Amino acid sequence: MNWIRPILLPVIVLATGLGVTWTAWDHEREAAAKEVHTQFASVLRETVSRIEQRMASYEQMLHGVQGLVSATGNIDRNQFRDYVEALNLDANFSGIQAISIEEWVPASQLDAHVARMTRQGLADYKIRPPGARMAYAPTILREPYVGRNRVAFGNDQWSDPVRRAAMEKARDSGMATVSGKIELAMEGPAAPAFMMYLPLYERGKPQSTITERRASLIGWVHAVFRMSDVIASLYGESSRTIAFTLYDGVTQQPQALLYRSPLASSPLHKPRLQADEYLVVANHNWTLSISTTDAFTAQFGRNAEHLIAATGIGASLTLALLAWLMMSSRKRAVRLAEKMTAELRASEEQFRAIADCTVNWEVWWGLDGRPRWINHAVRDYTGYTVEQCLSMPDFIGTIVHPDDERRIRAELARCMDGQKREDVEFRCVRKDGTVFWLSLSSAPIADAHGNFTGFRTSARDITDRKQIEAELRISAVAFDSREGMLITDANSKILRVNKAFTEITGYTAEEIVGKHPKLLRSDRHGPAFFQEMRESVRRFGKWQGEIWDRRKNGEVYPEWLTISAVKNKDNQVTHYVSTHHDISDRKLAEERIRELAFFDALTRLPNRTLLLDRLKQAIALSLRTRTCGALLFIDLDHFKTLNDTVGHEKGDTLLKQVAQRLLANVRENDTVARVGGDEFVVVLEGLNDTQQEAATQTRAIGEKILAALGETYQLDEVEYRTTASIGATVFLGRATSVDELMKQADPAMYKAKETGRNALRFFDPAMQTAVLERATLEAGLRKAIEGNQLLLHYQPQVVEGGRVTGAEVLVRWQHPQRGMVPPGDFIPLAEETGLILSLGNWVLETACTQLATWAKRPRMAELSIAVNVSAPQLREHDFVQTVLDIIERTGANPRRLKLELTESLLVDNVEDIIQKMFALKAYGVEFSLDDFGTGYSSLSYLKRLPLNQLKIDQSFVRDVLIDPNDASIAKTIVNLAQSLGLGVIAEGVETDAQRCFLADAGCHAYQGYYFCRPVTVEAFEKFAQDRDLLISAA
Amino acid sequence: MSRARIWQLIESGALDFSLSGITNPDRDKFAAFAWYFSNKYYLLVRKDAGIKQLADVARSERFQLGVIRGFRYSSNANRMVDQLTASNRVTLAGGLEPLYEALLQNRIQGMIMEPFDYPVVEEKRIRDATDIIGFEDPSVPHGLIMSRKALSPTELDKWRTLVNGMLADGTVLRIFRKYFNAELAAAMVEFQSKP
Repeated sequence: MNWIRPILLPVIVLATGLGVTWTAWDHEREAAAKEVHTQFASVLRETVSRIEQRMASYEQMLHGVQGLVSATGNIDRNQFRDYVEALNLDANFSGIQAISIEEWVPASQLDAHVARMTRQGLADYKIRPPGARMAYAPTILREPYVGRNRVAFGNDQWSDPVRRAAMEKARDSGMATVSGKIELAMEGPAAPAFMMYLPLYERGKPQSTITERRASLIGWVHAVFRMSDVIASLYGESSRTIAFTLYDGVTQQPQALLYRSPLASSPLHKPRLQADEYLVVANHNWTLSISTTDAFTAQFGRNAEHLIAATGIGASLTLALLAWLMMSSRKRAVRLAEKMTAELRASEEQFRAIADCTVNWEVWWGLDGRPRWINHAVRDYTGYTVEQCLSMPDFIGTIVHPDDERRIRAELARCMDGQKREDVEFRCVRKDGTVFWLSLSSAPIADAHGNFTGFRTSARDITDRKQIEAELRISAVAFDSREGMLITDANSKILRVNKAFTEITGYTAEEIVGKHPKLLRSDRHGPAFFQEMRESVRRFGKWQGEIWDRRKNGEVYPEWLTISAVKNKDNQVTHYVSTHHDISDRKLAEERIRELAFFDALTRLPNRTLLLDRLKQAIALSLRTRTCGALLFIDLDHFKTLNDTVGHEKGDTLLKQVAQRLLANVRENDTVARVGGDEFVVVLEGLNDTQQEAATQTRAIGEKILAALGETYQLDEVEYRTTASIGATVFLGRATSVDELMKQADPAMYKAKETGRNALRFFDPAMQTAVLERATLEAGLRKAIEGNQLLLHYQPQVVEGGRVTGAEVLVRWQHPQRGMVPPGDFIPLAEETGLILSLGNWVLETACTQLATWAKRPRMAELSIAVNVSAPQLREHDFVQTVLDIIERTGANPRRLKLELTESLLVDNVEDIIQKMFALKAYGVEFSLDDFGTGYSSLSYLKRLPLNQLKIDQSFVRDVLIDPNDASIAKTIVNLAQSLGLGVIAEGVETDAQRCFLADAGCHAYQGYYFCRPVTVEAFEKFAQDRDLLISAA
Repeated sequence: MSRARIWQLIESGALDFSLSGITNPDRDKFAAFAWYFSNKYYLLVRKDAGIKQLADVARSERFQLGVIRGFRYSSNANRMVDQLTASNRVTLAGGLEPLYEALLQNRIQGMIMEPFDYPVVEEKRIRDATDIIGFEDPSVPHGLIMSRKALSPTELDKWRTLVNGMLADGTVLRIFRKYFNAELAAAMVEFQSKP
């Protein structure tokens, strides 16, 4: 339903426009109507008001007369006349015909009234109409007494019912009252009129009730109004916009009509709006009927609604039309585009038809140089028909390409000369402006007689060929590029190479054409490599990668090779094209980069990595040639200080200069390397074949180096002197490893430093031995702990009197080869290696086992064993548990176990130690502080430790008799122990004199050679027993 | 003077007082009141107008309502007046007299009245021809109209106090009883006076 779509939008636009228009029109209509109504209501209000105001002023005027009467008490003719004159009736109160006064004359006062009237000068005064009635109200005064008003007085108003009604109402209400409609007799038609009566009362009489009013009535004053005059005076010229009608009363009957405006009476009057209003004027009802005239509508009406409707509809239609045009134009545009596309496609096909043309284009020419006959092929070639061509004014100029025109004209001239032409190639321009190539031949035509009559040309489209030729030219140029190129046939026989190729490989074209590229192969790649290459070319038609080829001169070089297969139309390979890119330079660069990894950036010396390599080679060389080599570790003295004082830059400069000097002072084959900040290594090769001699040589070189390095350095503006320390080691290539050598030279260098710097120290074989020995010992100790090489010796602890209280156990090592190894030899080693833990545990275990054994023998059961506890042991986190386990396992009495701690243990982590001590103390284990006085313990810690005993170090005891200091120290310790409530025992008591002194000082427990050396357990037991015997004997 | 004129003069201050006025937001701006009675409004319709309830008025095609120019009534009555005015079905008058006449003449089919007017309406000729329908509004206070322009607030209060006094001591009731039946009079003075 496509036809709907283009219509839809315009329809919507139209509908919307009309809708809006209708809304506006409707609104305007309403507004207009409202406006008219409002104006009308306003006019009505205004008219009513005007009439009411006028009537009110009439009333006021009559009240004036009433006032006059009440003021004077009677009706004075002259005064009345003056008043009325003063009113200037004509101007202010136009419409009033006359103002009259009536006197109330009840029948009884009739005669008196007439007499009075006559007396006042009215000669022929009599009441008209004559006749006897109940009462009379004759007019006695009328002003202005002119013109029509000059009617005789005595006219009885009371006799007229209309007037009477009004007069009665006025009398009873005391207010002005308008009468009903009166018709005044005039010249011409009777004019509607009305009277307004105002009662006059006797002065001084009450007037508040009807009765009173009636009683005090003296007469009335009334005015006669001609309606037309009243209205005329109200409305100047008659109003054009409204027409109104006044009726007397509320009915709107013709006889009640008081006034009708001229417009209202016109038969053409068709009012748009009309309204009635009832007026109450002076006690009387009137009806005002107002209607609008055309003038009103014209003045107040708004006709905008028509304008709105017109413009709205017009605009809607216009917009809808525009929308429709827009939609359809789009459609039109689309259709146009489609048409153009179709045309284009058609012309494409035409093109193709032309391009496929294989038929020659034949032209026969006349001697005038103009074509006489052209074959139909011309259409396919050029796009022009035969007729068009024949009728062309300048065939050549039109068809031939401007750039070739001159040449072709020259050819044409030759043809006309009778010459044969072959393969003249030139461009032509088709009818549609495209260009194509022709190859033209021409031959002269002769008639039957052999006269030259013209020539014919035959042309072939060679555009394709030309294109191919162009492409070939391009590739020829490309071929001569900087990349080496090689072209082979399908069997890889080389057909062509370019110059670049010759440059790279060294093979000229003559040398290599006809051969197989195998010629270039180096021996670096295995058959698998070429297999993969072949596979890739076969499957993907190409291969590229890095390959090591061989130049003609045999040099093997790296190149980047690409191989591409050239296929013909049938997808068969006809040729292979390969490009060769010599990447030797690149490889070189890569090498260089890699090499840089082996060199120190600052000094350009080999770095550690390369050094190790060189060292390996040096060792290998040494091994091979059986000559010694040497390794020198050179360390600059105080280099850090230099860096800190003069800055890193100068430090670097120094290092560079050092490097230079080193290089200068070694031989060709020697290696100088930088292995650290200020550490250098020199490898000397090819020294003497004996180590001794080699060492001498080394020393010589080393001294030379030291001297060279000791020379002043110029670091920019700073002069600097430094020295170096050299550690040297000589090797003869046994299969020493690099590591070993390094390990030798290093300590040697340190030794050099130790011994004062600026020196050369050889790695001492003896050092080596010591290291070795240590290692051996370590291994041995391990075995000893596991095996039964360890045993405990007991040194008795005695008290005053000589009784043995216990023993300190000391571990001994019974080495199978070396015999008894002194504890000084293996205890430090054990501590360094951590073997002390297992050693310590073994000691504890053994001691506790012994305690358990002794426990069975009454005397022995009292003995305690003191065991030394090392720092590592104590720091173990499960130390407490370990000890408790041992105690439990062995069944020893913990109270007989004394753990000896050295003072130095208390240096750090005291809290932990205290905790552990307390833990064990809880089980009854005792603690004593060994070597007291030699360490760093603080007294504050001391008081917190759950100690039982202090042991006075043997250093104090030894000289207690000689050195007063030691003596006082010993005494102090004793006092301290006593005051802290601790036991005290002296170690190393060797003489009785010492024992005596100590006893005097208060120390009654001793241990030392004086009493007994550390002995085996059996010996100890015997000693103890002997002592007992001695004591009991004593 | 017509009622419309009276309101005009009250507003301009030319007139100090008038009587029996009711208030609305517009009037409140220029007039103050002292309430002395309250009554409801009624619709007086011709029997033959076919109006049985207020809603019939809107539906009736030819119903013409008579209203005194410048008069406002209770809210339902005002609404009816405004609706009919919009469709040109209101005839204005300067006073009640012509409206009664017009009603009897079938020039108008209905008019709005108050209990005040009962004595007139009770005249046989009107009563026979008409029905009375209530406006379902609460009764509206009526009072002494005082011009704000002409009188100071103190004077306004003074007069209000006076009127309240008259209400309180039964003077007003006494006056009403002269003219209306006792029941009506009592109903008229029975109201909640607004401040």
